[in-house]
Amino acid sequence: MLDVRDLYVRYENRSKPAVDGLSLHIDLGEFVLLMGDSASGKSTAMQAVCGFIPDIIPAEKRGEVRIGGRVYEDATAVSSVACMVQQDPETQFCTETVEEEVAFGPENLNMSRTNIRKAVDESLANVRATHLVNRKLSTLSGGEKQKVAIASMLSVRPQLLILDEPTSNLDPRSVSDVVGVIDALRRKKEMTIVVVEHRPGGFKDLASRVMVMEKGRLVFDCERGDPVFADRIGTADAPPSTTMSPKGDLAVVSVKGLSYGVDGAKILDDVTFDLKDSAVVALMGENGAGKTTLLRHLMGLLTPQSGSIDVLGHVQDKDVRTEPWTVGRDVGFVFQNPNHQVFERTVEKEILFAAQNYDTSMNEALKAVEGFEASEEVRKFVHPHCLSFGQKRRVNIRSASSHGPRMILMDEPFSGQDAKNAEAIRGMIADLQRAGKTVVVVTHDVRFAKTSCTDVVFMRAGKVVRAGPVSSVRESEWVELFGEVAR
Amino acid sequence: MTIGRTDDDTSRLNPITKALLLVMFSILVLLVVDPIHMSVIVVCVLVAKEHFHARGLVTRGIIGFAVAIFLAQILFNHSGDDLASWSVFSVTTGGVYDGVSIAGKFLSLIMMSWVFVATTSPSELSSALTTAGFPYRYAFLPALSMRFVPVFQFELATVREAQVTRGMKLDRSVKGIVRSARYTTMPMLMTAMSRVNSITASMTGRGFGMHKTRTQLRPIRMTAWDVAFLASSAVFVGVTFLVTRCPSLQAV
Repeated sequence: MLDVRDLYVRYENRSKPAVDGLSLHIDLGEFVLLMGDSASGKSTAMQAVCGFIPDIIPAEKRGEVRIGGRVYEDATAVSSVACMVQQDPETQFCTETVEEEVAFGPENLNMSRTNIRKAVDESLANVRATHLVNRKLSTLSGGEKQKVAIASMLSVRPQLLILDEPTSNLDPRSVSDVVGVIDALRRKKEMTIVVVEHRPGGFKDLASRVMVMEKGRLVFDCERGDPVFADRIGTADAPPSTTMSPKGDLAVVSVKGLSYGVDGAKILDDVTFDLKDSAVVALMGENGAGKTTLLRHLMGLLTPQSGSIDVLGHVQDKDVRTEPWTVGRDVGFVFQNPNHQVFERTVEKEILFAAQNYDTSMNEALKAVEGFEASEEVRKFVHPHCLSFGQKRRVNIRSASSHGPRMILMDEPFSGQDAKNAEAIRGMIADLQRAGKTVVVVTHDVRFAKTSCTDVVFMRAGKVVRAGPVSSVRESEWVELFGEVAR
Repeated sequence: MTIGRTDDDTSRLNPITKALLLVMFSILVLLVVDPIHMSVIVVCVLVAKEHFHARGLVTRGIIGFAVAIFLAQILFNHSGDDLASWSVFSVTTGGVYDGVSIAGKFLSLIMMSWVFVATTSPSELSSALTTAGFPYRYAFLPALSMRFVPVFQFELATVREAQVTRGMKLDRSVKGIVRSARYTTMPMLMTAMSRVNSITASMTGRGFGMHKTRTQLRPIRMTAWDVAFLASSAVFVGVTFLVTRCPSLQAV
């Protein structure tokens, strides 16, 4: 089905190739889990297979890619046999409604109206999303968007379906849902499926074959049934370990009866909880539960419509507003997308940005600069956007904490991070906690919450349904809140 | 901001009809010189804006600019009779009339364009253009642009929030605006480039551009209702043109 020979890809302005001499063969009906750390070249290789490199993303490409025994001349030609669902479904939608999006491919292929209708219905049925057909894309949850993104590719009836980190931004229940959909496609054995992931996660029981890439090369390739198969999958999913100091007794956050809504829809509904100093708090819940909205309230970016918030003495309610600039002296904020918060031209200036704006002592800020893993040359002369995704995220965390805030809020810091980078972030969170800071982390990672946090706040439909020390949460509650994946 | 359709008669019109109506409305507004007629048009546009829930336009800046136009006319246009004078300044009938007329034209054109944007689905606009025979590669451009307006608005707001949370105070001085622009350009550029790559890959990866033509699941064709709207509007604009521009008809 897919034959790749000596594939070499080097991005413009990069000295080292992203993919270097990759050769692989995948048969029709196989389900391949392609794993590897960030920058190992797995997504680049699949983009080259689909022809996006060099047609859309400029790069030097050599080698041969055959799909179904044929070499295709460009990305448009490849689209008739192979499709790739990208990491963030939101960024690949080009229409407004579910029906329009799923019909987009068949319309381009000039299918008859009857066949387009059939393709739309079948594709939505395959991802168990028939009920969404008339919905606007903007109203869908994260899991629903991912299912529609998959359906929009299935509708062109590809022989090869590539899914790039299809569960990276989803809550555990949505992950189970999407994995179930992909499993159903696998069982039909009508197409070859390649899932690109950092960790096997929910796909470990589905994959018929595992491939691992490292530094642009294939370093592991093994089929289910081989004795090393289970070992490799088990190692990649090894649980993290973090040691932390005990949390303090001083109340740093007090939220009472907080409610907030937009256009009549309640996003936060009578939210009440307290947090102590030196706590690491996992703020959890399904996509759309109100976690980010709550975080933005703690930062002063949103004003409560009712109820009150006291964050380190910064009090806010519907009549009293504290500017985020003022709250920012004591509270650092790490946003979800690393690109939204990189402002300066060098790593050093970027980390010092907040300390200079607040005119605080530069000691902690300079320590944060020196603590960054790269050489002094990189810190002084390299643009933060030239760093790897993981390094950029670590610069974000240092930038948000370099001016000495007593509390750090992080919105999904592990999103899109491989195991090594996630471990590095967990280490940074533990360091902050040991330094006496309170850290609130929005996350879907149940293992992180269980092993690296002192407290949890669970949200569902805008309400806090459970808040307290991690040790007080029973196993049955985790399963009730997040499904079997929480075990 | 709202970009999309409401469910009343006007938003059910063919998007091309709406675009042509906007063009005719613009001609009508440019023809009208009488300040009373202009005021009536502005009121009608405000009603339309509310009726179609065309919210989210930065009205403070736009109204400020309209007021500036009006004041400039009052201060520097000395045609007509004197209404009042202080020292070297005088307010004349010509200044007031032209001020109302020009500021009204500006306001009504901007707001009516916004009503069009708010009541027109980007996908339907491209669909209507394709059905009308416009090459689909180009027909998709306005739809894609409109699709990303709210996305970029959201991203701009996030970038600004990220600046504020790291101590960059909102400063409305020229120096502050330049500084803010400097720190906003790079993150916006990075996210825009990433989005362009994603959407291009998504469209190309589903065969966009493979064939010269493209089938449509739901083609949007002109209806009798569209033709009636266009014809009556054209007649109205034509009559207005004749009345306002032909001295003999004005005398009648």
